Amino acid sequence: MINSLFVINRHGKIIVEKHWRGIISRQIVDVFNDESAKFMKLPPGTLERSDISSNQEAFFTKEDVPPVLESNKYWLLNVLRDDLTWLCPVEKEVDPMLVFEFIHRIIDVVTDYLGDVSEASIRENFVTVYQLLEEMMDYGYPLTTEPNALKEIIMPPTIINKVMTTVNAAAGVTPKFPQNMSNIPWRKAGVKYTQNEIYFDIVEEIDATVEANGNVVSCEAHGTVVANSRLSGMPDLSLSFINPRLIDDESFHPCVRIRKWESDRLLSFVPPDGHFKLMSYRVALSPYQAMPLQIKPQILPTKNGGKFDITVHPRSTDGKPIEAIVLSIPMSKSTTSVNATCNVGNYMYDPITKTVKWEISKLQQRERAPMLSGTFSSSDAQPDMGLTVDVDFKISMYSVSGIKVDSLRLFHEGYKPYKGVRSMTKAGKFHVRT
Amino acid sequence: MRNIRRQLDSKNDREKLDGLKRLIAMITKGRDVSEFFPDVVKNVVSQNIEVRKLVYIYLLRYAEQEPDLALLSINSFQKDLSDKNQIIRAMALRVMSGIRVPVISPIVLLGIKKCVTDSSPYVRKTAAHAIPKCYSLDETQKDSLIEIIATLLKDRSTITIGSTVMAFNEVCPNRFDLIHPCFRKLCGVLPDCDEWGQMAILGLLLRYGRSQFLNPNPKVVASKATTVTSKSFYSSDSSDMEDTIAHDVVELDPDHELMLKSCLPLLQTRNSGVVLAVARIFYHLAPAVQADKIAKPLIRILRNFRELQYVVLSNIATMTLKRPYLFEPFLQQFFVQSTEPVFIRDLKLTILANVATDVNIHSLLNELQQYVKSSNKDFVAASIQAIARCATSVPSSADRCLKLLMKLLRSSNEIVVAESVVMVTKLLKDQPGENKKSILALAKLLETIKVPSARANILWLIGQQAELLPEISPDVLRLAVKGFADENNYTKLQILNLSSKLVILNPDHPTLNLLHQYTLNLARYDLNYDVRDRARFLRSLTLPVDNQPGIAQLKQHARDILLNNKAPPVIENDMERKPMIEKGHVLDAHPLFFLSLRNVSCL
Repeated sequence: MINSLFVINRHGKIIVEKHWRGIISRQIVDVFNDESAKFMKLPPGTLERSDISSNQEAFFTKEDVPPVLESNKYWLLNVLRDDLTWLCPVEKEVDPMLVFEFIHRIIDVVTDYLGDVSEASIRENFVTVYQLLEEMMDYGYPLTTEPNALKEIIMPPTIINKVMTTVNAAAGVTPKFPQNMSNIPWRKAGVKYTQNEIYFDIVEEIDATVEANGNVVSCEAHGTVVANSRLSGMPDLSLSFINPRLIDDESFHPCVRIRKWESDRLLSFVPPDGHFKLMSYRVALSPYQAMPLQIKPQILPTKNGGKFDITVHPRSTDGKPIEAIVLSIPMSKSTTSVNATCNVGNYMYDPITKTVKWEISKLQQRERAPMLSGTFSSSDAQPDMGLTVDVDFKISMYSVSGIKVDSLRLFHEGYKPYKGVRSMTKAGKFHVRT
Repeated sequence: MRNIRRQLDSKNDREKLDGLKRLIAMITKGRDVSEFFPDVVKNVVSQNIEVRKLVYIYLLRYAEQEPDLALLSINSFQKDLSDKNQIIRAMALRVMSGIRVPVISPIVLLGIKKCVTDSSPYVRKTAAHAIPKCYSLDETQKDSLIEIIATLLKDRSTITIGSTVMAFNEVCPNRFDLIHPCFRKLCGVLPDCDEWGQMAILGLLLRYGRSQFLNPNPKVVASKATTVTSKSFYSSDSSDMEDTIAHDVVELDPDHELMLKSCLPLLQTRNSGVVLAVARIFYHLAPAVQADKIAKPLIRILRNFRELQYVVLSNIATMTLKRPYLFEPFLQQFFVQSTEPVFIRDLKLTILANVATDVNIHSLLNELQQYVKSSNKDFVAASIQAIARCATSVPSSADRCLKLLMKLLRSSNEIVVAESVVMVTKLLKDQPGENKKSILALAKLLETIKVPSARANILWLIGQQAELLPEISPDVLRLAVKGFADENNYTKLQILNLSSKLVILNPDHPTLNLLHQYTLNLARYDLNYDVRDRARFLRSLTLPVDNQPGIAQLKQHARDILLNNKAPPVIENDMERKPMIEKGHVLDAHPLFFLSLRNVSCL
């Protein structure tokens, strides 16, 4: 089971330490730092790469440190997220999935409480973070991890709450203590709203790999249904889709009754209060229907440089404009300068990361196809090729898979809630090879 | 510091809260604030619940260092155990059992016994959590703790059962006799437990199932013994596979079937740990026909944080060793991006090579060809190895792989060339006769390539095939000897080998003999032990020396010693090379995690 948790900043210094089963010396973090330096091909004792190493052949970063490392006595399970490393030294055998899932859950909950997880936000709210760690795990076993249940025990550090506690304490009023826990772990009892509303966001991300000639290597959509529930009492909802058959594979929040889905393709659930992820699903896409954009890059290397041009062709998206298109075109590491022109949007060359970023804020169909063309020069006689262009975009009010909500019905409560559904399609891991 | 003490002594709750908060912040940072212990413990009886909660946190952190003072607080916990509010009762037991002072273990045990019969499931859950804590305080309590676990296993609440099973797994993981009576109930409550409880129960069911049920796939397991053949066994053609499965159908025990049926819906949970745990159960305990249900959910949870992805991929890699067909339809999911972390990329390449078959090899090689163009040289090297691995796992593609690798020899990057040379030599050992041209191309490379391992490999290969290349091999030797002094030790050893092999093949050739003599002399005065040593050995083996009886005998076999036909190499992947506990190994991400399967009688 989990013995201890250390939160480490990017310089390898401890921000938070928490022990559930006796104390593990802080030195373990030094061991961890040395081990990770090995994987980053750095001399021990340093964690940040100085610029001298830019001429090194392979470029390793913190990302390349494996999540399970070995030291003399412990296994060092570590999670890297948002520039912070969450390290769990483990002595005895444990399912690594449990540890990783749990750490990510902690981070999610802390994000929910503090708004974001960073060194600064943690330092500002040490007590809340520590209370959460205490409450979420007991002797190395997960205890209370549902945000709704946690909020009954530990108040989020909002300004109003802070004021309230100070006032109450000053007045000698003991804070109210919940008398009974609700029977459903993910929903607290006695929720009350004057206006009952529930919103669903269907967000789909397209993961695709496309070859330079336009051939689609792989392509699929990953969707999530995120809900924001502001409903009183214990509502029992049932949500149906117009075309559930499209869904290839799915997973649910614990509140969803899986058997009901299997028999009737109906989402039947008592929602938690507030924001939560109701469902995620995967849809296999046919390459022709799926691509809202067709991108054709061409890079021609010559001696000490080369030419490139990239065109973007919008495809049918039910008449919805494609917004916030960003193409990141990595140039070879030896590139010295880039010169380009584009007919739509604007481009920027970052000489440190050696990438060209081309942004198009909005693209409608039947417009002239945007095009970026230019030249680059390189200090290397034969600049490296074979890089992939990273694509980002989003399309509001459009779902690429065609999934639509049919109806939402509410049982067990007398009111009629306001319901809202939005959909959005985004680029996930969308890569174009050159 | 003095200020904090004053705040703790204050009558005002706000001041107290403030002081405690400052202490907790210091604990979080890892500062030692144990000196305040007496001042804090006093507050354990505070009426303000917020104050008390913070006191508890402090107490749990430092009780071990101040056992005597910590005992002072026990009384108030015992009183709280009879409080009207279930949350206070639960909290009291939780904190009391968390005080790591061995003396109090009997009191904790009493507390647990009291709470096990509590009317609130939350309190009973806390009692279950306290069991492993009490066990770690005092192992002699094991028997009474097991009794408590047995009682709790009968509990009907879905809230407590997960924690009970966690306690079972830690205190008495092999007392399956306690599980027999409640097995069906465990299967029944599975969908209604919280996710962590589900993971604990699934882990238990896996161990239980593997030790109590019959193996659903006796045949498949029998073929595990011959790993290499089992790959072609499945991939050769599908009708063949169905045949074997049809033969395999074993009448499952109704309980066995119940377990599989109740696990199945959990593949739809959001927690990827639960999904993986179900996948493990199906991999081990489901009939092969049903096992394919796990592929899709596993692919789904692949799209996740890198750490989780790593564990899932390791598991898939292990699964594909024995049952590559499970993941064959999802080949594209394992395609690599050059920007992915090294450990993810390597696992994916391993899986790709594992699931390669006659059918998909074409698209797979096309994909690998793309990777080789990458500017990340480390990635290119790994891809080249994957190509070579494909050649060994799908023999029909060997030719194409070889051609691909030969093309790479012309690359301008040294690492790429070196890696391909190493892999080409490994492949060429197989059927040298047909690949004379490739060997010639390699020989030409000696003029340009500088990476020692590549040079050594080429020289070795030419020595091995010297008989087939009478025109060029002496010339290669001549050129190699010319630069002998500047070569790396590995290369030097291979030059010595080459020259000895040539002399053994042509014992009467005067020039070769002179050249050989010259090589040996060069090596004799080399700086490196190994080179000198090898030279001495080869000298007595190849050159006429004074008749020593042993050596003469050895000499008769010189040809066999040096030019033996070596078995074709198997280019393995990392998974196979890792130390695995022969039978217990199978599905866990890392050797560390095999333990739990070690003491289970295996399939």
